[in-house]
Amino acid sequence: MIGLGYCKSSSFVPGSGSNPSGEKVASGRTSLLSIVVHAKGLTSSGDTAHSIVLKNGDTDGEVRYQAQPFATTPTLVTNLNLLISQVVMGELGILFEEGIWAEFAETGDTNGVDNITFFYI
Amino acid sequence: MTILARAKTATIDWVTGASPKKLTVVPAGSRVCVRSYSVFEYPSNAYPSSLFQTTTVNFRTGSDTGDILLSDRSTLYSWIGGLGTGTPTQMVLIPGDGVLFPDGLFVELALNPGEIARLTGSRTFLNVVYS
Repeated sequence: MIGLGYCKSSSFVPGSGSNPSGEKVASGRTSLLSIVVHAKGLTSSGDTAHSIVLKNGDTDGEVRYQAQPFATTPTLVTNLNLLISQVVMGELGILFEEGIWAEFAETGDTNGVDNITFFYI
Repeated sequence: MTILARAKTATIDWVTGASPKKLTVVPAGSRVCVRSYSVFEYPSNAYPSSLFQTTTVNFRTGSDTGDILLSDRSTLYSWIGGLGTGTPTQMVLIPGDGVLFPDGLFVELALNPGEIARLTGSRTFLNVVYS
């Protein structure tokens, strides 16, 4: 087993920061080990959530990870289910040579995530 | 291999209106490594007053206003219809040797960005495992 040492962590809150649609969450050569995705309720019933896209370096970089987050439609029952999902990338992680850029894909109706926590080395 | 037997735990139970919502887990001057944590919401009995509200947890070092090195939000899960409420959730396992806090560990439960008040009856539980 490789000794990974200590992790660094950062958070991506969609719609915040200097860029409302995307943000650099880690700079430099980085190996992404895990993310924790926190769901929020969708805007309208029947909506689908934008998928999460992680790119190398910036918004023009190569896509290294993409996933559809869990999200709930706005009914009385489902809006009380705002869960987290942890994704573990494996022992070596996913390499981003120029840092990690986080954004959401154009496909889908609305944002179903209100926080992503990143663990990387 | 890391000796996990030395791991310790800290918990916070934050009830609406109660203080503190901050906890000094380890005072400044010591190195701390956070290995795992969970933070979850117990909704108000006065349903539906607690709809939508979750909580931000910030892990700081240096002081309770120091740098935030780790941040996440609480899980909210509830079953409506008189069958009870609760929030079963997993611990988030931090890979490798965890996140290093070089100058103590200070935990803060706070409103999410853009929220101005905590809903009556909300309750938040935090568990953190560190060494």
